[in-house]
Amino acid sequence: MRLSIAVAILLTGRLASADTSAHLGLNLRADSGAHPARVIAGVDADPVDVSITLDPMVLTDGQFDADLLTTTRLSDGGWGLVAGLRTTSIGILGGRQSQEKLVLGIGAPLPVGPPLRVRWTFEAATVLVKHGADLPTDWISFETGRAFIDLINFGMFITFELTSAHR
Amino acid sequence: MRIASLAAVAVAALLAACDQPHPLVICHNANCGEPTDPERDDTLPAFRESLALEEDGRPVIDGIELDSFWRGSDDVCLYAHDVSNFAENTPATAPAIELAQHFAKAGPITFGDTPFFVLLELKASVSANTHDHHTPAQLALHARCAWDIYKIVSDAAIANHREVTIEFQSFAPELLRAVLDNAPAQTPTPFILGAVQGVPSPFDDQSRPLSDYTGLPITDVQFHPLWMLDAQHEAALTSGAEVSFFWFSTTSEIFAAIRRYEPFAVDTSEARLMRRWIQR
Repeated sequence: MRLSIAVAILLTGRLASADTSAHLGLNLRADSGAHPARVIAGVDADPVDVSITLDPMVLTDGQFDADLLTTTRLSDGGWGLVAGLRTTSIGILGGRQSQEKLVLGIGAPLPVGPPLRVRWTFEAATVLVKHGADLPTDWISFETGRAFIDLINFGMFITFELTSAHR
Repeated sequence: MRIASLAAVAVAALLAACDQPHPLVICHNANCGEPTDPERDDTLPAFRESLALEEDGRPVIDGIELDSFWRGSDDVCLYAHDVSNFAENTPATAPAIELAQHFAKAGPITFGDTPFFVLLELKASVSANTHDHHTPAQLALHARCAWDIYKIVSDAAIANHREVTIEFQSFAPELLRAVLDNAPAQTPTPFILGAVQGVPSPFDDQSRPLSDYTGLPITDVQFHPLWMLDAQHEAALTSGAEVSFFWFSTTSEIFAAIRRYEPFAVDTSEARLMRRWIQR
């Protein structure tokens, strides 16, 4: 995750000379792939957007869901390919177990303009590895269907943000 | 005053959100060794490791799942999960005999002060083909095999003053009917019947509609929480049954489902993770 953040910062810096805008708001979802309300911030350096999502709802149950996602624009209408990582850190007796997920999906804007920025995303989140809290590290395996069928989950989220972009 | 009331409601809501469910932890396929390896499902070494797991000086688990598989080609009752176990040829009664020895040892046999839960699943097919079901004669033979396991466990529970509950569970309601039809005159250890609602077709073709269990006194409907629909959950509760969960790999979605639906038991191979999550 730290490496990914470093890569994202470098990528964002490289693209800073392009037509960039910042955005900040809420990441909301109805499924259980992560907490229902989180805080998202990012930089849109068309055609690549980089965002990070953090989780104040950790205070409610000790689970922390953080996303680092890139969205690469695929069409003039704003459809984009979403790729990135999600770390879910779960508090258990004696420590925290982390579940590292690969997130792939597609996203599209909803028809509102600046200063609002609203996007919908459909995702497949795959747990690649579970580790921490003195429990054995457990990588995804494809030996049998039972070994991975629970590790791939689909979900959707909507982001409501303020953006510095101009109409 | 109004602000104080709103604050009290907010605090109550926050506390409610923090409520931690405390389901029984059942060891799925008697395979709770670490890290999880499905290839070791329903094998005696994994069974022994699972019984020996401890947390804070007490057993991690509150119960264990024992599968029986009726192999139709030579009519034998095996301790096996599926065809991958066929080379083993372990009799279905073998883990029950070891469980009886476990009951005789000193010390607690569950994490809490609950009866030890023995989940006896009767596998619904008789060969590698999941559409290859029992003949009427095989239904009776498999049911008697399950009662043989029951007797070993029950005798040991009584002899060692252990509280035990036994559940006969199957994807096949006709097997549960055969269990009732072949029940012995005396059943001193409490037993219940359970239905399973697993991964749906086309991923897995074993689950049958709950209506197929009509007429059976089902008191546990075991769902895979990632595939359970709210309507199915409501239907199970409306029928008077309780709900339990089984799954293969624990994810944050599983934890969310346990918090939302509060099953009375969870059947997992990641027993230590589940115990530490419950006890946090």
